[in-house]
Amino acid sequence: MKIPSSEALAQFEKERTTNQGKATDSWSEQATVEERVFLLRQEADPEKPILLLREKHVSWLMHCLHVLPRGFKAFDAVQGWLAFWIVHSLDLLGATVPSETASQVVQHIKRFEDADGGYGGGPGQCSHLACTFSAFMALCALGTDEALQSINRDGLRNFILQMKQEDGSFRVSDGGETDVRAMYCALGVAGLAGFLDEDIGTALRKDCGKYLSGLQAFDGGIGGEPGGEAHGGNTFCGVACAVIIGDKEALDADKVLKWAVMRQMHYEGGFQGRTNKLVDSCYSYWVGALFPLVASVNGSKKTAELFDAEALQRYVLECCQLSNGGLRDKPGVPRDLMHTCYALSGLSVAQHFGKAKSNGVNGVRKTNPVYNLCEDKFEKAWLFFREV
Amino acid sequence: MHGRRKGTRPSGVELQEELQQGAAAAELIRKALQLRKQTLIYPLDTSFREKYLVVERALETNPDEYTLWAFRREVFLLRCEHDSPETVLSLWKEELFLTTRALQRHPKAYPAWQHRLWLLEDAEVANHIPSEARLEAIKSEQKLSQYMLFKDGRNFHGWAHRMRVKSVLISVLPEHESQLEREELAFVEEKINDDFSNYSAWHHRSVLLPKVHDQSSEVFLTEELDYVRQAFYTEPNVQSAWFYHRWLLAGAPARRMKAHVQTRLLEDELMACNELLEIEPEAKYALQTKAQLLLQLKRGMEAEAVIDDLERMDPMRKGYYRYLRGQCHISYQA
Repeated sequence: MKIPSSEALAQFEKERTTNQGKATDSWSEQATVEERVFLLRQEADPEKPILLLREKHVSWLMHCLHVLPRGFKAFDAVQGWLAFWIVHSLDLLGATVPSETASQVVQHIKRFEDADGGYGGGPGQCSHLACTFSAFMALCALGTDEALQSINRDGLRNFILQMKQEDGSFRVSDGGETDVRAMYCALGVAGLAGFLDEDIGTALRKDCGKYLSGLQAFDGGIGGEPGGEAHGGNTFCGVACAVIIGDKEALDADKVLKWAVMRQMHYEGGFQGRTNKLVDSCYSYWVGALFPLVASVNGSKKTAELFDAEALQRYVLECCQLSNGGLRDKPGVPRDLMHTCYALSGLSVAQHFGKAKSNGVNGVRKTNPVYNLCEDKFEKAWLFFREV
Repeated sequence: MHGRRKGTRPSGVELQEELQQGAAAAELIRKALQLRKQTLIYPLDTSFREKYLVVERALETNPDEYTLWAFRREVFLLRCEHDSPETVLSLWKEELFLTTRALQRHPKAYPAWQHRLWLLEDAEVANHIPSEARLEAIKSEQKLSQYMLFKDGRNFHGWAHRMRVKSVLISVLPEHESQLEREELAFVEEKINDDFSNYSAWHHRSVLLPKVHDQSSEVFLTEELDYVRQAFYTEPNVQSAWFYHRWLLAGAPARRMKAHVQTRLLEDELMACNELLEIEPEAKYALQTKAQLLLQLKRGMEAEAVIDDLERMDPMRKGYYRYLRGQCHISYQA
């Protein structure tokens, strides 16, 4: 292990945000993260470029994919998510799922389908919008004819409509909670599957804008429900919904951007999900994608320059990759599939919508910022659902 | 996923144990889901009741199993229809206690919070619970979120639950609405005083204050500015109070009307910022606020000088500062 020079230590003390003496827990947690990031950067060889460990990640993801159909024990209610995180991560890295494995995954996901047309988190579970969204997107990310054909459009349409509430919001499941995540999951599927262009579109869109405008907090970010605190994941959901239904008035996009700009961590370079919380690689996507999303609404190319894409890329590549494959939230915690997916998705945003240079070797494929599918898979699914 | 395991990966014996626990948990869930496939018929036989215990155990350790919470609702409603009122009341309390146990271990499990809210709020449930018992439970409900927020002051599920419980209370006791809002504001203020960096508390202050404040907007603003200034004077490098402060300066909604912020007020705030900057010239948030104030006061050239400093100190946000500079030029012309 390299011992940092006194110059490097002095420089770190100048740059870190926690050099201004504090007493609360959140401050000392922040200090720990900054120190870990500093030490990691010290260990890196300044002569060598930072590399995306593509083969290692692909190898780990492929291994996880093989284990998946046999049941991943600890995360029972989120099996659709596991499939999506793995398949989309592989896609971003430019790897192709072997056709036999792809077929097994399709059949595995089919077992989550509930009688009422939605998907549950696993076999025997009742329909849930987040499970439905993830299963649907996993199939679109696989992108095979078999995957797309396995989707029961009529069932999905019925289930999504059933979840629509009087006030314009959506419930995640029968008797489940109502929040902006549910709306994003509903509109995400409805948007891609073409329901919003059908007669049922009116019912699905009704009062969505009204609900969304009640979610914007005092600081410009978006909460999960009316009165809720601004949060990266919910802000993404809210803005993506507004984009999907084409409502430019529902949210103050300018204020969203100002909120988002402040989420990039001064020292680490990655994003936090809320003010005074720690950096977390998954917000590379949830917050990072806000810039191209708002740009698509206000048409301004300059929006992409509002965040430091190089710093974001640097955080993901320097601090979040494990040498044996997979990515993590931040230094000091283990890898997991969720963070692997969203760190890579955020890297894609930094490279394709921000000004981060990928020098070819570190390049990941371009993701669609609304649906988080690689562009070719998005297009194939889009056309498929409109030909039926 | 977040915070599930910190530190090094388990290996050897630890890994074996973890895999075994995972397998045991999965088995519980599988049995519970299997039970739900049976048609529910009252009366529930002994065999069913024995197996139903599995559902409870599964939920204590895996409260994200939303299907099992739905199952609990189905069984509870069935028993509401047929069992004696005393039994139903007792079952209701057991359900509430189950959510408490689940939330103790997993404070952020959406379906567990939802199930608890359902027990307290749902109209069909309310039909089967004596109103005094229900009211008593709702009145003391904030103790749970108080405890959860004591453990983690940023748990937004806890904060959201407080808002929902307050709504339920207001619907049951509408004449107490303004008192309930004030009590909530007192709780928020307590949390802020405990820790100025608790941004969740500041956020909820922004939601509550306009509902509670019954003075003219100018007085509201002046009092709030005094309050928040104490916070950022004590801890100038903590973002929370500054962001709240900026919202006030922009004319925070008071009683749904945006207050017109008088020039005199803005100038007072500018003076306060400058005083702080004399002691701490690199205080980034103070500088950002100073830039905003100068813009609002239409002193574009001075604002630009501050933005130059900011860009040097905070190069990550240069895109944003470039945008702010654009605003300066607009303000010259104003």
